Amino acid sequence: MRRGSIEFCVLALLRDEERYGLELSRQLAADGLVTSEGTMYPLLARLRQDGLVETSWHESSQGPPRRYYRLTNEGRAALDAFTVQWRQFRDAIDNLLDGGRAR
Amino acid sequence: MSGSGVEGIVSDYFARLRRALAPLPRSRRNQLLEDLREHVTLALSEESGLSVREILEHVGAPEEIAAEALAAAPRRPARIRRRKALGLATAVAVLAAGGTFAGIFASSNPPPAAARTDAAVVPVANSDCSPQTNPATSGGPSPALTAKATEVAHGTVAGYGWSLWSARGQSGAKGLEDGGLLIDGRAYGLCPGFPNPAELELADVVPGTGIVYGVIGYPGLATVHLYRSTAGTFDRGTPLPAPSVTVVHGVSFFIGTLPGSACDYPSLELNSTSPGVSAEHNLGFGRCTAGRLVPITASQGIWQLPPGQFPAGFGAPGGGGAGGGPDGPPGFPAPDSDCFPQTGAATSGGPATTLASKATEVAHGTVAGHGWSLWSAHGQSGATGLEDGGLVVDGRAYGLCPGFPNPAELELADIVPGTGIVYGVIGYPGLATVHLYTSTAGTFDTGQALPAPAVTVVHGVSFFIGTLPRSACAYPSLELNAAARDGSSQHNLGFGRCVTGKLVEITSSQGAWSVGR
Repeated sequence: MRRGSIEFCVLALLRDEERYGLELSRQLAADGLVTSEGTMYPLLARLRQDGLVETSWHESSQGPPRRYYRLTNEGRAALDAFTVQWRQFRDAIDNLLDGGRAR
Repeated sequence: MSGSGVEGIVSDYFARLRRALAPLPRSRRNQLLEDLREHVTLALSEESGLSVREILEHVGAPEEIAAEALAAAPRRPARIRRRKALGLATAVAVLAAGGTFAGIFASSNPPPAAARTDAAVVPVANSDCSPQTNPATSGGPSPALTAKATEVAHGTVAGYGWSLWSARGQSGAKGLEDGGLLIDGRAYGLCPGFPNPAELELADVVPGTGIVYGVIGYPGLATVHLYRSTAGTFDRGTPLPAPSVTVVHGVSFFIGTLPGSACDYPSLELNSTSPGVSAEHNLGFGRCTAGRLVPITASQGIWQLPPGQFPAGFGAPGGGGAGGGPDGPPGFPAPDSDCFPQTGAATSGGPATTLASKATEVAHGTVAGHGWSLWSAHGQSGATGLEDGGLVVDGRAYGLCPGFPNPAELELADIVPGTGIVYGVIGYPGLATVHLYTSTAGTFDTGQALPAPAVTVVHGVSFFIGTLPRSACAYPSLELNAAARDGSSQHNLGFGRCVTGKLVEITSSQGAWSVGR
């Protein structure tokens, strides 16, 4: 389940702002969604290849330039669709789990 | 291991990562390497209090990252290989009437028009790295190999039976490299060093005795010499027992033993001579594990060499200079020259008075709106004069540090905001064509093509200077491919932190070049 949904977690992190890889990977690692920071890059490459994110380089006053990721229109649409599906899925599971506890 | 400092640790990590990612198509592999290098560079630049080892632990084990990438990767389509092979064949057809020796650019891009190849000695195109080449998965049961391959040779080594298998439907070195080797019923891979035709694996199969084996992809029976060495050089240390060599599928397969355990060899030098041509390969090895291949942590090679001529020495890490070897073989540019102090990133960009007092101006022009002049050391000529002299931009002196015995050298300067300045010398006689690409340090990969610099013949060799589309700080690695009448040269450089008004520190450097007529 994690493998299938992690890419949407990345899209969600990019919903409101651009972020660079180190930021994204640290956030996901801190949340326990990736086992190590580096394993997020194959996922980012796939998202880029699928046209769901795009990148640009930004200079930084605090170190080397950084590649920033941002959502494309396709990425935003995919995230919106997933959000609807996820909430339905989550509600269904919650109902089952709550029912199981009640019995 | 190639080093214990920060650079060495990072270099070892990326060598391991590159190896783990080998099964991926080149473009995907390069993209991941670039992403992770940026990640590590950024993490190191932060003042987090973490050591480099802790940072790399957070990044994760290369094998873990590779497993994630491979889980999501589509299989490499066969047409990519065919297209590569076709490109090479086209180059051969067009250029076969040319000279005898020339470098092959390690790239999926076509070589520059001036590059020449020799149809008689060009090895076959690239092949896949079989899973058994990954140290972590090597030494597994044999059916994974034998189910898809045919046995083509067998023998014994250190009292163990071995058999060599060629992938079904394939021939030559490619068949062997897509196949593999069984030792005592366990499968070990052969990962091609394409475009270098020579490859070597070191296996920790027999306690106290290293097993080496590999393929020399040139046609015919090769002589193979092994030496102890130092990773990142082409130095020959103690000679090691010559392995036995057999022609299989028209190329040479070799296998032999080392006097010590596979764990005792941090680096090996492999020199081979096939009919009419030689190849030189230097490999660094990491931690050994019983029953498995020893991880290759560093690899560099030169090929298409005149028979028996193996340059020694190599540019030291840090870009400072010279291999220190003896004079190169006939056809090489002039012997080594000094690294002028202005070539050091920290000392570059100083007043030009010192340079002007010991050198003569030999060329000038403008780059990105800034005036430059090129100076040759008094009493010297050719590339040596320029390299012992230097470049002045806006009254500030910048050095030229030779890559001897590689005739090509390049410097990247952070002089103009938002625009990297590149310049250098191609030491072959006459006018060279110079191509620059973004790249990944430690590879010979060509990424995005960059604007061609202006090239001028000065002192009989080529000086080039040009601009990059972005700041000098935006290029962690550049690939320099040059071709001249008498040969071609390939150079990959990694760059570290940039400082305004200075040269960008060179953090890695490797090259391959060829000898002219």
